[in-house]
Amino acid sequence: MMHRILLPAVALGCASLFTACQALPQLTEPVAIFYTPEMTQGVVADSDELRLKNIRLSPWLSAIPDCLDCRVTSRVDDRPSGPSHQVSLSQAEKIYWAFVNGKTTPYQTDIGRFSFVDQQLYVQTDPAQAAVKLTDSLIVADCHYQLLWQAQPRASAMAANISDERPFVHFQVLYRCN
Amino acid sequence: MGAVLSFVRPPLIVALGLLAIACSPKVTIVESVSSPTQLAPTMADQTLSDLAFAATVQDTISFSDTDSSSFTLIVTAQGAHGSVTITDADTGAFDYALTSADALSGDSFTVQLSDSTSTVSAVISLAFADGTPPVVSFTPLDAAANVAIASDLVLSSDDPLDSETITVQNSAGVCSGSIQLSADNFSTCLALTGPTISDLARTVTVAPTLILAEKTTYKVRATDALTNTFGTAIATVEQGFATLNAYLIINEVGSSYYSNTLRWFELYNATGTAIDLAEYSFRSISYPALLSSGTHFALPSQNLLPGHYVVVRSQHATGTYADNNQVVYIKNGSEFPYWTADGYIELIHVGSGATIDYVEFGQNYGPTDATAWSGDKATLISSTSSFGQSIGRDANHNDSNSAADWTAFNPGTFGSVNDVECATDADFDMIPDCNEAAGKTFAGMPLYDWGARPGVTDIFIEIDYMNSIDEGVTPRKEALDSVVAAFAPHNIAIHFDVGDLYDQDSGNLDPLDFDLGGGQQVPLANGISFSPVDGRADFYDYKAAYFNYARLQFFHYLIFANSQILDGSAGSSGLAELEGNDIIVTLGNWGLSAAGDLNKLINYQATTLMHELGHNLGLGHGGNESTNFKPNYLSVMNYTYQLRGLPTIGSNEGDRMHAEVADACATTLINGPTDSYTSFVLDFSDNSSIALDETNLNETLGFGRTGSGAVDFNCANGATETALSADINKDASTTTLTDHDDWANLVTDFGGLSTLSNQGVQLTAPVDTPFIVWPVRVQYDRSPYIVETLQRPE
Repeated sequence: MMHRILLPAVALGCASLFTACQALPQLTEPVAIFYTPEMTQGVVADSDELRLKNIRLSPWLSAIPDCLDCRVTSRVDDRPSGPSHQVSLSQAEKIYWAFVNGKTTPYQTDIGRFSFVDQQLYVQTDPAQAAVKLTDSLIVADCHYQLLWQAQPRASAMAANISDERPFVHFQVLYRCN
Repeated sequence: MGAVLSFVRPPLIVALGLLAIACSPKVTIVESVSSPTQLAPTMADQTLSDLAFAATVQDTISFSDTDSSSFTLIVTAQGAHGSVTITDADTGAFDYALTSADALSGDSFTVQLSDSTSTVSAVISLAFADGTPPVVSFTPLDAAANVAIASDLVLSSDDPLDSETITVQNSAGVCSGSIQLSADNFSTCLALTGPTISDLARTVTVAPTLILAEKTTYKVRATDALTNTFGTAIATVEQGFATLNAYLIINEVGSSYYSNTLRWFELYNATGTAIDLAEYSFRSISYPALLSSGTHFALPSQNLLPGHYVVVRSQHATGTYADNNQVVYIKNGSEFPYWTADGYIELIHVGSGATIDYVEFGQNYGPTDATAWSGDKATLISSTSSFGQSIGRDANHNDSNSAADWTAFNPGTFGSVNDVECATDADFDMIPDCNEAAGKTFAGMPLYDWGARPGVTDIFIEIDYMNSIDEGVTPRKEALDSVVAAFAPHNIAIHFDVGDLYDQDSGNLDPLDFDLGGGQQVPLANGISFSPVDGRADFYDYKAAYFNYARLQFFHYLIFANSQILDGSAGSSGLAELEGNDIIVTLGNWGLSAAGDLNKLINYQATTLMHELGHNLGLGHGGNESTNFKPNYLSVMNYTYQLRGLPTIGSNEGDRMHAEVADACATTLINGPTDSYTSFVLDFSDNSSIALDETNLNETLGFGRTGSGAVDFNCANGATETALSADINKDASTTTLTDHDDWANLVTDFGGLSTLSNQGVQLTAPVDTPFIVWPVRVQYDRSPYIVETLQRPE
C-alpha cells in the first residue's frame, strides 16, 4: 500500500502537485465524447470543449492540459453497451495526462486496471499491488487520479419486452502527473 | 420430352454432401459415388428440345460412367436466363428455374462430370416450344359486379406472352390493340395506359386512362393478335363486369377478443375523387355502454384519395394517438367503438343522414336504411387466438349488401387491398403460403417478386437510416449481405429494404440491392429510444411517419440511428423489442469509418443488426435466458461475441473469453472484427457446446464442440486443469453454464400472444394497463399502435 495516500493528504498535496487541482465544477452529466472528421494537432480548447486529434470532449470544465512536444494517444475498447475510451498525453513515453471514459470493467488502460466492486470503483496501478478504491481522488507516485463522474445504479429498468443493453457501469477519471 | 439416362448404374454407395462442403460457390450440387473400378466417364454436348414452359423446367442430362466409379456431376456455368440445380446426380436430373422469359428463346449451361481418372464437360442447350394456345383470363372476373371504378385490368396467361403483341390504344375511339376495354360492346373502346408486364410475361396489367363510370357495364377483350413467345395465338377472350355505385366503402373489419384491443376497420375510397372523411360518421356498439343501438362516432377531417385506404381505429383510453394518412383514432367522450363476434358498423353520410355502407356479424342488428343489408349476418371469429384476423370484401370491393361479400381472412391486411388467398402459413413467416407464390401479392405487395417463397421463412425488414455524415449510421451493403448469408443455411430468407440507398434508382425496385421501395433516409436526431420522456426522439414517431401501415403484419422496422443518448454521444450499440418487430441500431460517434477501418465498420453493423434482430426473434443474451458472457454459448447474442464475432473452434477458441475479461491470456483475435468481413463469423448458436460446470471445469475439453481445443479458463497453469472451479462469465457466482439452440427456437411471429410481446405499441401507454375490464382478463391483450401479430396455424 505504499502508493496509497488517503484523501486528507490529497488536499494537502494539491497546491504543490498541480496548479489545476482546485475543486472541479460538479458534473451532472458525464463528459460526452464525439468524433469529428477534422484532425487536431496537439490540444485545442474551443469554448467549453477540448479537442484532441479527432475527438471532442464536451463539456470540458477542467483545466486545459499543456501539450508541448507531447504525443496524443487515443484508444477505444468497444463493447455492446458502448465504447470505452482513454485519451492520453505523453512526453518521452511517459503519460502525464489522461482522460478515461469507462463503460466496462475490468477495464485495462495505460494508467491502470479499473474494476467495479459493490458499486465502488477500484484502480490497480501495479499488477503486483492490490486495487485501490477510487472514491474521489487518489495520488499514486505523484500522479493524481480524479473521479470526475460515476453513473448511479440504473434508476429504472426498461420495459420487460425491450432488450436493455445500457452499460452496468460508467465512470470517468482524469489523470494528471507532475 | 427430355433426354434419357444412357446407362444403368450398378448399386453404389452414395455419399451425399461430403464434397459439397469443399465445393466452390459456383457449384450447385455435388454427389460422390464410390466403386472399385476406374474408367473415364463420357458426356457429350446435347440439346434438350421441345421443352414446355414451366416456372421450373425439369429434365435429365445424358452421360455415361460404365465402370460405375466414383463421380461428381456439377454445374460449372449457369444459364443466361435461368438457374440450374442438379437434383439427382445419379440420373442426371436437374431443375431449370427461369429468371427471365428470354429463356424461352433458348438457353444453355455447362456441366462437368468427373471421376478419379478424368473430367469431361458438356454444354447442355435448352430449346423450348409450345404449340398449344395460351389460356388467358381477366381480372375483374367475368360477370363481376360492383367493381371499383379505379380498378386496373389484369390479364393472366398460363404461357409467357410475346410482349410485342401486347398492345393497347392510348386514345378512345375505334377499337384497336390486343387488349381492349369498351362500354358499348366494342362499338368503341376506351383509352388504356400500360401495359405493365410481370411474372415471366404471364401477367399484364393495364389501366383505364380515365376513372371508370359508376354503375356501368363494361366489356374487356383480348384478341387473337396476342401470342405466346412461340408465336401461337390465343383464342379471343371477352369478359364483362359492372362497376359499383361509387362511395366510401367499409372494406375490412378486424377481429377482437380481449376488451382492451383497440377495434379497427378499414375504409376504401371507391370514388374517383378525394373524400373528406369528416363528411361521414359511423355507428357501432360502444364500450362501456354496450347498447345494441350503438353510438355515433364522427370521423376527422382528412382527405382520402381515390383508390386509397384508411384504418379507423379506436383511440386508446389513457393515451392519445395522433391521426395520420394511414390511420385515424376514434372515440366519442368516454365511449369507444367495440365489437366481438357480434357487432355492426354503419357508415353514414353526415349531410343527408343516409346509410352509405353497412356490415353486421354474429347477430342481426339492422341498419337505419333497411335496404343496406339483406339476408343473414356475416361471421367474424373472435377468440383468444383470432388476433390479426379479419373479415373483408374481395379485392374488387364487391358490395351486394349481404354476407356474401364478406370473407374471413387469416391474417387480415391493414390499410391495403384484401388479397389473402389462404390461411396456411407452414413456414411461420406470417405470410400466407399461397400469397408467396408467383404472381400473387399480399397486402398489395408482390412478395414473390421481392424474393418470398412458400416453404421458406421470409423475414422482411425495412431499414430507415438517419441523415448523418457519420458512416456508422448508414448501413453498408456488405453488412446486410453478411446477415442474409448467416440466416440462409437455416431456410430463413432475410429481405432488407433500404430503398434507393444502394441502387440509387428511385423509379425501380431491386430486391438484389435491397430496394423494396420502403426504406429511406430520415431526419437526424441526436438521441432516440422507444417512447422516451427526456427529450430524445421517439422511435414510434418515426415509425408512424415513415412506415407503411400495410407492412405492420409482417415487416420488422429498423432505424440506423445516431445514439440512444440525448447529447448524441456514443452509447449502447442497439435496442430492440424482445419477441417483437422494432429495432434501433445506434453506432453513431463510435468513430467508425471506411477510411479508418472498413472491416470494423462492416462487421460492427452486421453483428449488431443480427444481435438486435435476434432479440426480435425471442433470443436473450444467454439464448433462452439473460445470463450473459457464457463462453460456451457461441452466438452473437452473447456480449462476448457480439462485436468480436465467433471464435474458430480448435484454434484458440477461448480468445474472445480472454479478451472480454482482459486477462493476461488475451491475444489478437483470430478472424476478429478488424479482419476481413468475409472471414468474420456471424452466427446464432446450435447448442453443440458442452455445459460448463464452473465448480468442475475440464480445461482440456474447451467448449466441447467437434474439433474443440483446450481452453485456459482461469488463465493460470496452462489449459490443463481438470477439476477447476472458476467464475468464467464473471457474474459473481459459480453455476453451470449451458449452450442454447438459437436456430431451433426463433420466434418469427412477433411473439403472438406472449406476455412479453408489445406488438410494436407505444410504451407510454403500456399494454398491460387495462382500460376496460370486460369480459375477463385483459392484461395479455395488445393495443394501441396496431396489432402486429399473427397466430401460427394450429
